[in-house]
Amino acid sequence: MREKRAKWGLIFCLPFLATFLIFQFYPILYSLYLSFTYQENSRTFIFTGLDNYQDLLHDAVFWKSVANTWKIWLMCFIPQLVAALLLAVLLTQYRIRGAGFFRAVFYLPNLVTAASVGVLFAALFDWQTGSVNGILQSLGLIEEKVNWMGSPAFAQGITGFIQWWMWFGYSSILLTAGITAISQEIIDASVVDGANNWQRLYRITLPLLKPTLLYVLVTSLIGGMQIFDIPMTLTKGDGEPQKSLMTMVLYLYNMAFKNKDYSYGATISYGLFIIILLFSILFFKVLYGKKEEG
Amino acid sequence: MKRRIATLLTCALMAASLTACGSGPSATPAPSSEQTAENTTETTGGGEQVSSEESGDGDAADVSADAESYSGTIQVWSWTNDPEYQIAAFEKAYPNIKVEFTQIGTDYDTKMQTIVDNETEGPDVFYADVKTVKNYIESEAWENLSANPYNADVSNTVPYCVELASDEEGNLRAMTYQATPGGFWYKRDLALEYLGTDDPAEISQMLSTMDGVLETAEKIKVASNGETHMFASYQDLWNMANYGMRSKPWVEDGQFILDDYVAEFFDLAKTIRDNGYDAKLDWWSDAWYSAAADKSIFGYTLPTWGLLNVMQTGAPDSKGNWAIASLPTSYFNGGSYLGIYQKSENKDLAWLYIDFVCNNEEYLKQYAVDKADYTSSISVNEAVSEGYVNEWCKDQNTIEFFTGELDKINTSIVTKYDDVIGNLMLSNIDLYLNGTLSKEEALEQFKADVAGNYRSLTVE
Repeated sequence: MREKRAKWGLIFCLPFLATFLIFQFYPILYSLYLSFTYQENSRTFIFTGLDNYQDLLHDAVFWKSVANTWKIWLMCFIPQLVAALLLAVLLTQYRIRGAGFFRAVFYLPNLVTAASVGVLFAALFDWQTGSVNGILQSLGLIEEKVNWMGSPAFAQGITGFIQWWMWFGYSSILLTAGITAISQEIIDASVVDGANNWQRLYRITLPLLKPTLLYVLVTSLIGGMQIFDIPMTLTKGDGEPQKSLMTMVLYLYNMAFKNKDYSYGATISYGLFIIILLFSILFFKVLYGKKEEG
Repeated sequence: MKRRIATLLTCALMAASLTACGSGPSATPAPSSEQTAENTTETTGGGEQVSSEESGDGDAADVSADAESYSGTIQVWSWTNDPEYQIAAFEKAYPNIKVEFTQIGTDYDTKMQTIVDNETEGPDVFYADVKTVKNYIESEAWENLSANPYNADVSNTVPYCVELASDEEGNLRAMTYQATPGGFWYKRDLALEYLGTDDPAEISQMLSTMDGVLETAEKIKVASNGETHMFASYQDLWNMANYGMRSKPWVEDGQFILDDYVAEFFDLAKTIRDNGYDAKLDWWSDAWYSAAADKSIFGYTLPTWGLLNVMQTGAPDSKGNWAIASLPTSYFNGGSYLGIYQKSENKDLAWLYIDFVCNNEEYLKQYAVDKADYTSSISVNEAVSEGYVNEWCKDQNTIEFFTGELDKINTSIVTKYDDVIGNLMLSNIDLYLNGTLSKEEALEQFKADVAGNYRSLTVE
């Protein structure tokens, strides 16, 4: 009986297993192989061991792309968490009328594809014809048109802002779910003990929300480290100005597919993989460590 | 009370998140998908036609007696819809051959190159933009058309088109139906107003040297009180200077060569920007297209297909107001090349298709008239040129103009690196122009960028 069950279990797993092996596992291994080779021409790969990784460690652009990616992620994640937390608390603790409506509206930007948002913002902040410059000029706030996307700091800032705008609604829904899951008994008990709203927030809601916060953190980190579409569409793929929008994945894409250096592209992707892995382990350690304590 | 404050806060946040959303589409229309594709892939448009789509049947195609004896199906891939016209004509000439056309708009070259590199199943014939032709030749993607059984006759083909599509041994690997020499397209009314003449010969005379170009730009600026800029962007001139002014290829024997002209071009760009000779518009942006209809720019540095794809799109009411003049050197830009994929199983039919589209004179004459394109066939251009008047350019014979430009085109320094390296240079010039880097820093960073992008090259 048990054997029969195992057989059916395996059969039901097969479709997933087959697609995973063919479309994910094989490419993962093949990329690993590529990262140990040197591409002489479009079809000849020569095994060179760890040469590519040595190049990667000394590649200023790669490290710049790592720094850019972190900068953009932090610029998006910190405001995102603050806004999401604020909204989640406002919409649950105060029982606002039409909370569902607000939640839907905040979630809306997340439904638009990132690529179109990138194109939209590129048009808004266009140097000569963008509406932002147009509005500022007609209000008399600026005299000369500002070359927004010519400034590295601003380019990174706007990317962070777009990411924030697209994702705070999503995070706030996750946090709302986390807050709603807090047992009413604990809250009642705190109210009986005389806790006011602030104390409720600091002593009850936030501590009990930690697992959700960490979940939001880890998923946002994994997504943020792979940011690609917005810099791609904002800069037409070149990551300018001053490579300030050259993120890790954009660099990977450019090296592998624009410059046709598949070996190095694969090496960058493993560099990216190691970075994400290290930080995910770190955060998960924190997450499960806390759980054991509780 | 508290609840009311909370509601207010929520509303404020919502307002903040929606303003970004609301002002966008109304004020600045997002580019159409077609232009987006152009932006992201940075194709030069290679003759993408936007005129009303004629069925392409015409009565031009000559149906030889045994045309009906060929039968089968071939696959044709391209990134534009140009082949639709050609396929319609071909299927009429060869009624028993069916052509299945696939248009791949986005990342065409990435996909095509991957197929070619892995030698997987693919089309029988595929198109390539002139910028990528050298890549496909190096990857041995295409059949040798100089050899048996094709023995392509190129005696009637514009020579530079043959040079570009040949491999290092001089074997022809692809053919094209269009030659794409360029010049400077300008607005006649503005020329008359600011320069006192709209005659292409006189304007060509003014633009025959780089000093002359700058002088003319200054004249336009003064006469228009700064309202009209000669160029959309300083990058316009790179189009011409890329092959026209540099004397050495970017890469020779695996070594990157920084031509002396590059530093000169940095200065030229600076002069143009600082004097307000360019309108600082990005190539292929919406504003760039619509500048065809207003007074913000005097003209465009574009090749043959510019009139159809840019001016007629941006200013549909400007018929008769254009003319084209020579610049200090001639240049080419864009052009679609067709080759037979090595892994094709219908190579004989594939060759019939290419031979028809690129060499059939009767068909090409009809094509040249229907599409107002300049063909790669010397005899067809000669025949069409007689008494030809381009209605969009008042009374100018643009075919004659392009034929005159052909001889000056230099293809000896074309490499497969040109597009990427050229863009790296322009990015660094932008940093120099906006003051982020000094000229020396920008040149150094340009070299570093080349080394970073091509690890196999030696950069000193």
